[in-house]
Amino acid sequence: MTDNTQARKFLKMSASPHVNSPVNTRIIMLDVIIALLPILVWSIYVFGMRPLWITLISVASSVVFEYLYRKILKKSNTVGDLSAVVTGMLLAYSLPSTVPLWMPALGSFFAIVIVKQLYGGIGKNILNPALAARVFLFISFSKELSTYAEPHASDVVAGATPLAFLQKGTLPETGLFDMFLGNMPGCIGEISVTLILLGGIYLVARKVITWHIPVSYIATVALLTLVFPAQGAPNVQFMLYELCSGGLMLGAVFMATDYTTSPVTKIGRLIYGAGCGLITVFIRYFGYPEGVSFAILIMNLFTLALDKITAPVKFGGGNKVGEQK
Amino acid sequence: MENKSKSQSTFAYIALTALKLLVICAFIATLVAAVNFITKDRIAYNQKMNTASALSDIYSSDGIIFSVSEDGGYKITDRSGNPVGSCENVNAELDSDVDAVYIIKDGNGEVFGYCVKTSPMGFKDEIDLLVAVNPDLTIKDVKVISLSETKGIGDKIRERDFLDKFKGRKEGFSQSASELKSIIISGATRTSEPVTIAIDSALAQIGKMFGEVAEA
Amino acid sequence: MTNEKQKTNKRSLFSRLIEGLFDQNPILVQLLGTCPTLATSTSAKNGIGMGLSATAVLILSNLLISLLRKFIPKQVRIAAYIVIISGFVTAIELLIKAFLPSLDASLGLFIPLIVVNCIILARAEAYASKNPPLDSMLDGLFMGLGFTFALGVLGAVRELIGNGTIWEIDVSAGVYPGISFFTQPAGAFVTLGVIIAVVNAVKAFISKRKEGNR
Repeated sequence: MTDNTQARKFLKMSASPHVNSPVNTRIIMLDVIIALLPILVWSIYVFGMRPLWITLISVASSVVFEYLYRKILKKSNTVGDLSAVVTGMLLAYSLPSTVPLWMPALGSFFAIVIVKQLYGGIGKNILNPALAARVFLFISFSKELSTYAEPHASDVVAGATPLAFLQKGTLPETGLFDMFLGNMPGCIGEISVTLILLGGIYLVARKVITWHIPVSYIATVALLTLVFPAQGAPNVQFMLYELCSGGLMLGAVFMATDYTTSPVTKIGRLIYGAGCGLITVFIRYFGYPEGVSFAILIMNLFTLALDKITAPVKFGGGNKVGEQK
Repeated sequence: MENKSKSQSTFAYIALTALKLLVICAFIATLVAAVNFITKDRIAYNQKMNTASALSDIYSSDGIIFSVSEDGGYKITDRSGNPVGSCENVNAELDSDVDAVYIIKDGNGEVFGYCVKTSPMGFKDEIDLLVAVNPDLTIKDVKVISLSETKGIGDKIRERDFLDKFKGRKEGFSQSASELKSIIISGATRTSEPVTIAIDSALAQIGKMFGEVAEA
Repeated sequence: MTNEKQKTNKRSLFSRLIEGLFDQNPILVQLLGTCPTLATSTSAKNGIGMGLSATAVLILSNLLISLLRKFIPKQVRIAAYIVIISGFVTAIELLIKAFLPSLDASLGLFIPLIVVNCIILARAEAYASKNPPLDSMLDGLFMGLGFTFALGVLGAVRELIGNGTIWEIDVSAGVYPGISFFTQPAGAFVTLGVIIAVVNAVKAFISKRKEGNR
């Protein structure tokens, strides 16, 4: 008897299958954080110290809210899996550098408590928490969320972002190379296309994400904007500008690929990415200048259906039970 | 269940049911008619008061207040309550999209301004607008009397920032599509565009009645 | 014997009130009438105004339907209920337009929509068509009060968080900017969900206490 109880302390007893893998949520999240950090460094270079404060406040409040929620409702502490940190970072990256410092804290509350924890915690949320919080802040404080600082300037410009130009059918003032490198007005995380793509490649190499969603998303937007540029703007240039602006890259690589809210199957992911692209272009052409956040949230809602439709047939499965195939 | 007597009384049954429904409907109809009779004068008065206070708002900087007079028209008083000038409803034939035209005259009988009441179709329902036109046929101001648009979004057309854009206009919007685009509130297109339509209607109507047609 | 009857009647009146407010609250428990709830609870004033208007209709329609319950043919009863309910709604709408124009301006389109408020039809079908007039009136009153109560609470919370006002008076002296998410339908959903969760938690707590006492 004593042998048994002692053994139980050191041996894990469970039924098969036994899976032993070095991967758990924390390791995956660490990889994402690593992929995200260069973007922050560049942002500090362009906008000054403010992006750092916003990110720190966002991350800290996300972690605190998750910890407090789990503690008050007597649930297990999940802060160690670092998903709250990632949510905090992504939320901060989707905000302009000029937002008041309490805003990322408020957004974190919405993201962690309402979107994530109230639905059951990690793995159970229907919407991408960071993105939903971003939209929540956008609806409530549209002015602060549409005002961006000019790169390397001390002044704030009232939102004549590249996207606003594109919607009117003209090409923006910022050069394409500058936009690709990251010298344009915009949210903290969306300006440096180069660093985002590098982060994406890192994540694919580390097998954290697969290529399906980002590629299908970006390809769909590229195709649509190439074939249907707004009101007589030059095709290729228009397409390239559309690709580099409005947080498309950030959304395609880091937001749309969130495990919980995107499909599991490969085909599902391709459809999902294409859907995001379609809706993004649609909104950009006929509605707001910014469509990425709404597009991804809408496609989040389709994830369950997509998984069901594209589920592989189970082993031995035919149409009826016991049927010979 | 299905037998001769049942089918015989089916007709009677239907007829009786219909009759009972008729009685209920008649009763309700009488009730509503009675309430309508009691309230309709009051409601008409309230609507006139809405227009009167909109008029007062527009001309508040000129120090005059509009109110409803006993005969159902409008009267103007200054801040201390002395009657000043007149506000007459123009009885001539109006354009199809115009509800009413008022001429406001000062104490000497000079034309002080014109007001056009129009209700273009918004996103959900008609938007009641009052467009005030100066004697020189430029827009003095625009006021929203009532609207039932999307809360938080459609209300934006009440904001001063939006309405001030129309002050001093001489031309309608039909010729300048790009100008239209810059004025319309994004996200509230179908609520803000009717305001520009109202401006067009007002300028056209006043121009037709009282001056040269304002050409763009 | 009459004393006993009076006692049970009095207790049941109070317990019926509690039922309408909490146990069987039309919005928070029965989840009826969510559409007008979300749309009109933008402030405490609007919510309570809507609630009282609907309560008036509920009492009157319950009364009339109960009086006519033997007269209305079963096959066409829904049609009859709708006629009666819409008649009263129209009457109330005219009265509001005439004597409470500010309420009309803020509630606008939603007063006519009281006709299709599920609560009224549900009570007509579930209660008024089967019970005597006085009882039905009381049922209408208590259900209506529950509806008004829920609307008031929801409206107050949304108004406070979304606008920083209580009963349309600014309580933050202009400091609080107001999170306008909560004055819009999405915020209404979130707030309503949280309120229902709180009510459920309280009810669970109370029944646990009762179990413990036994």
